[in-house]
Amino acid sequence: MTSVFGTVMERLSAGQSPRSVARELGISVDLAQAVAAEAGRLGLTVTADAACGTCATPRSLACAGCPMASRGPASG
Amino acid sequence: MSTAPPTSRRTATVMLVGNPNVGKSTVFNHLTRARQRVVNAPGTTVTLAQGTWTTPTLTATLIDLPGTYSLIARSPDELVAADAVTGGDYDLAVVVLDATALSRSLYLLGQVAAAHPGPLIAAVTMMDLARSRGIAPDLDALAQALGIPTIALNGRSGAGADSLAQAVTTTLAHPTRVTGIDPARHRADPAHPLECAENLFDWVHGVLEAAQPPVAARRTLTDHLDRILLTPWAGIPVFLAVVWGVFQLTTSVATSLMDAVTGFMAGPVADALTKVLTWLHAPQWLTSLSVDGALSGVGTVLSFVPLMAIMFAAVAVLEGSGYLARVAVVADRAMRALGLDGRAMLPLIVGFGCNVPALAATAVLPHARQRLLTGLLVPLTTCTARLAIYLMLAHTFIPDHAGTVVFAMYVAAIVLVIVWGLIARHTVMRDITPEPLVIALPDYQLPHLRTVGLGVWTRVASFVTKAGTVIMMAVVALWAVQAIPVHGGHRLGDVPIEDSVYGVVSESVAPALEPMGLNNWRVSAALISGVAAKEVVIGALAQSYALDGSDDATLSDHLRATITDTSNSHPTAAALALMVFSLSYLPCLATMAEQRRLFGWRWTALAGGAQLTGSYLLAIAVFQVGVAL
Repeated sequence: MTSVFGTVMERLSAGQSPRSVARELGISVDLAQAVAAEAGRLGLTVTADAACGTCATPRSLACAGCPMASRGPASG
Repeated sequence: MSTAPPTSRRTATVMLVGNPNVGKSTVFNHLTRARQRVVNAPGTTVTLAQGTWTTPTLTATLIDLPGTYSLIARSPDELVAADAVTGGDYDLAVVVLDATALSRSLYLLGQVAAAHPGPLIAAVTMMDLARSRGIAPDLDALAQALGIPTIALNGRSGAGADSLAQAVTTTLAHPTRVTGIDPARHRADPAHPLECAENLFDWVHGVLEAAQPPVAARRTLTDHLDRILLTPWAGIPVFLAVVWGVFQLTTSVATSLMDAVTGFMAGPVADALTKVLTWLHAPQWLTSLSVDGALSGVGTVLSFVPLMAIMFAAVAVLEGSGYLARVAVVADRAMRALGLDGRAMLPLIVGFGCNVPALAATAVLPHARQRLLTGLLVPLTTCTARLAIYLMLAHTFIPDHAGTVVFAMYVAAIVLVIVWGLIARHTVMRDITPEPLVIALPDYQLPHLRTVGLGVWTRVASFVTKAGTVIMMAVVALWAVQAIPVHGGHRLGDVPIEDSVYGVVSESVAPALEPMGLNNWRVSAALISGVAAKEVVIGALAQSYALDGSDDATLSDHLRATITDTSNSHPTAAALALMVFSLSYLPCLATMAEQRRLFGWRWTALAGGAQLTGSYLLAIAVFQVGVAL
């Protein structure tokens, strides 16, 4: 039998969001998010903003136009 | 540890363990009141709150550990919590569970139970909030599933504190184990961390099924859309269509605004500055530097502000909706199909904003060789600075299809990344093993107007700031080398530009651009200047024309005339060749410096040489094919 961890990871690998995985599997959103977070700690997943925080200064041009800087340079 | 009978007053050390923001510290403050102090965790700068909790049957030293979601620590705070739990220097642990996020809390509880054989108690907080959301657990069922005392606790009001005290006293006397947790199967094992996580989550799932209201499986429209949009066969065409739409919108709406800004800078602003300098009796060289040099160069770059603002707004809407994060997933699959590592997508996407932080972002890759390969590919992603070059050339030479041309440059950048990546993978990087990327995506949502506005404002502000600093300095430096005579017997500062250091060096390089129809010293000078920073290219062109003459023609008029001449009346082909060359000929100095810092001179020089050669040959091919067609 496939574990809940394995099932959630399989769906995340298919590009689904944790919320979407939870809806489809009928599990709590919190459980799917917990799996994603722990998988991140184990080096199996990253979040979309994982590459942020690499900008030299918060207001540098580095973040201008950056598709990952979801809150603009402040998040960079 | 203490072993006194439950009926007498006893002492014990009790740890408070829990996720961040679970209300643990509120519980701690309520139980200890003023009897608390802050101490440093042994050997660290992490502080712990320690207090005395007195009840009719117990005097406990209560330690409030830093909040953590897991005993696999990611920060010094979490490491202190993990070490304290696994160290076992306590009599009992109270694991505080958040009723609104029970899974995460239970996972930590399972880890704690597996890590240390001592007694445990579960204290559930946030029950009111969980009830209002319809997700409150059945505490009796939860206690039965866990097999340990389970208390509802309200840290603010103190409700449940007496029950907790009683449970602590009883549990110390009669320790109980968490049902279903076997240290042999669930304890974190560095050799098999995945297996341990799988077992623990199965246990969490079982407890949730016993204690929490069931969640009905369902799919929303978003889920159905994602299932289509996240496949490469649909996702890539849709993404390309979206990007094309953004550039079409940007270039069509912004043209008149750009013209207005250009006219304003070249007209009223230039006139006013000239009058002020004349009134101040400024020398001719200073007027030339200020009006023809700095204002001309910076003004041209500033004319792109309306266009940048529109594009940034479109991008902000896309990212605010959650769509752009999905692009990484789609791109990841396409990259993996080509044998490239999926995780490389994140820094490469950042590279489309600016290459320098993208190089730093290669840190998300786990292996040095993967970081190296990605770091060598990053300069091929076309940063915002290069966008200004494409826009100027597209508007000048292919005005009816400017959006499509700029879009094509972005596609060309992606193709270059793939081609260079494949070449590297099959030559100097044969040892790299691709690894999959799993991105925890955000849900789709309506973008917030304020967030979009703030993002546009900060990005435009940073663009203008750079135009006002780096570009200004570069333009002044260029003006200086244009003032030094090489031949012709001119005085310093009174030199026809073609007799200056700038002109002579540029003239000597220009013939190399002949095969791509661009044998002109202004073009070569602008490209050389662009190595300092790509934003300077357009400013340098504008400055060279402004210094050379005093007619009212715009930069576009000058460029059109020059390139028509150098290309033997094939200006469109030459302009496309110039765009392709600008895309990848050499990274800017800041990017090269970062590459050298991360990978050393040898790789930086190798990558730069390969890029320069490749882009040169490609630009020649573009021009020659364009002429043949």
